[in-house]
Amino acid sequence: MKALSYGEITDGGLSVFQSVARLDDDNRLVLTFEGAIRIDNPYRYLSSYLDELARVLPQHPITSTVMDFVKMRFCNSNGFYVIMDIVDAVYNLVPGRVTVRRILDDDWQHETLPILLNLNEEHVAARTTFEDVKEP
Amino acid sequence: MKPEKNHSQTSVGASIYISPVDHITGDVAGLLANFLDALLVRFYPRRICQKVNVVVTELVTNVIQHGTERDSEVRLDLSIDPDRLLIKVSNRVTPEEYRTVKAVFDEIFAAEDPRELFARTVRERRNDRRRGGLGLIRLTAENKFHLSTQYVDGILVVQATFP
Repeated sequence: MKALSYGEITDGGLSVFQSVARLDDDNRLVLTFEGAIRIDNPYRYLSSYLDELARVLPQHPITSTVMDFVKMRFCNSNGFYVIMDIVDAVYNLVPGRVTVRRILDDDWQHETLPILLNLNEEHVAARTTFEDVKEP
Repeated sequence: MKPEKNHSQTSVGASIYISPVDHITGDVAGLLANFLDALLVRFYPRRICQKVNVVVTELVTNVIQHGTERDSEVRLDLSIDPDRLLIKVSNRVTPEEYRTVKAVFDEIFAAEDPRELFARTVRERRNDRRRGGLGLIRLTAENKFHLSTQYVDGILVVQATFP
């Protein structure tokens, strides 16, 4: 597994949210989201990650993607747009199927995440499959 | 043999106020939300506690970020029992601020499908690069809270109940 890019939000020196883009041996992009977005302006921390994703994703022969939200515990409404920008980068820059891993009975991952993924767009919905897992 | 305790039959209440609002720094909304989440998870399912976390975060953040009466207090009241979760957040607001909040409530109450309203609002505000303005709609569309509001003697009370 090769790390392509990494974004992080810190609070008082502690890491509270991380997103990592990795490429596995089968040229599958694995994008993980971990922690909680609670701050007022997440772009302050994640804009360079977004720029880096836009730069590196087209450089690799990616065949499919897994976006894993299982370890993302919380997202405030100010965090919605940065999640939308990250997933947009995947849908716009990477071909192939997208598997979204999410927690089985989490309100925001079931009700709001599909909105942030823009599943009302047919071409997005056609590429997307959900994998619901129990909370770790 | 003692009967097994059913923790979901437990009643819990909490009232917290901070005054003045102007003294609040850092993520106090997150602190309160995480504290109540951590307390209630000892008695109630994780999914219910997560709802508490979201509603406290969004409502208290609204007061801290948008309230202009900075020398007044923000007050949080929570009660939960096997039948109902009730959360109230109150603060002093101007009549103009109340009209702004009421307009959001009116839009929510008028919506046939809160989820469609939520989706449309997220897309519109993202296109306009506008921050905020999603919290109340989120609570109805995502977390299935019933919201109501009162404005008496200059105090705005936003109440969220589930189910």
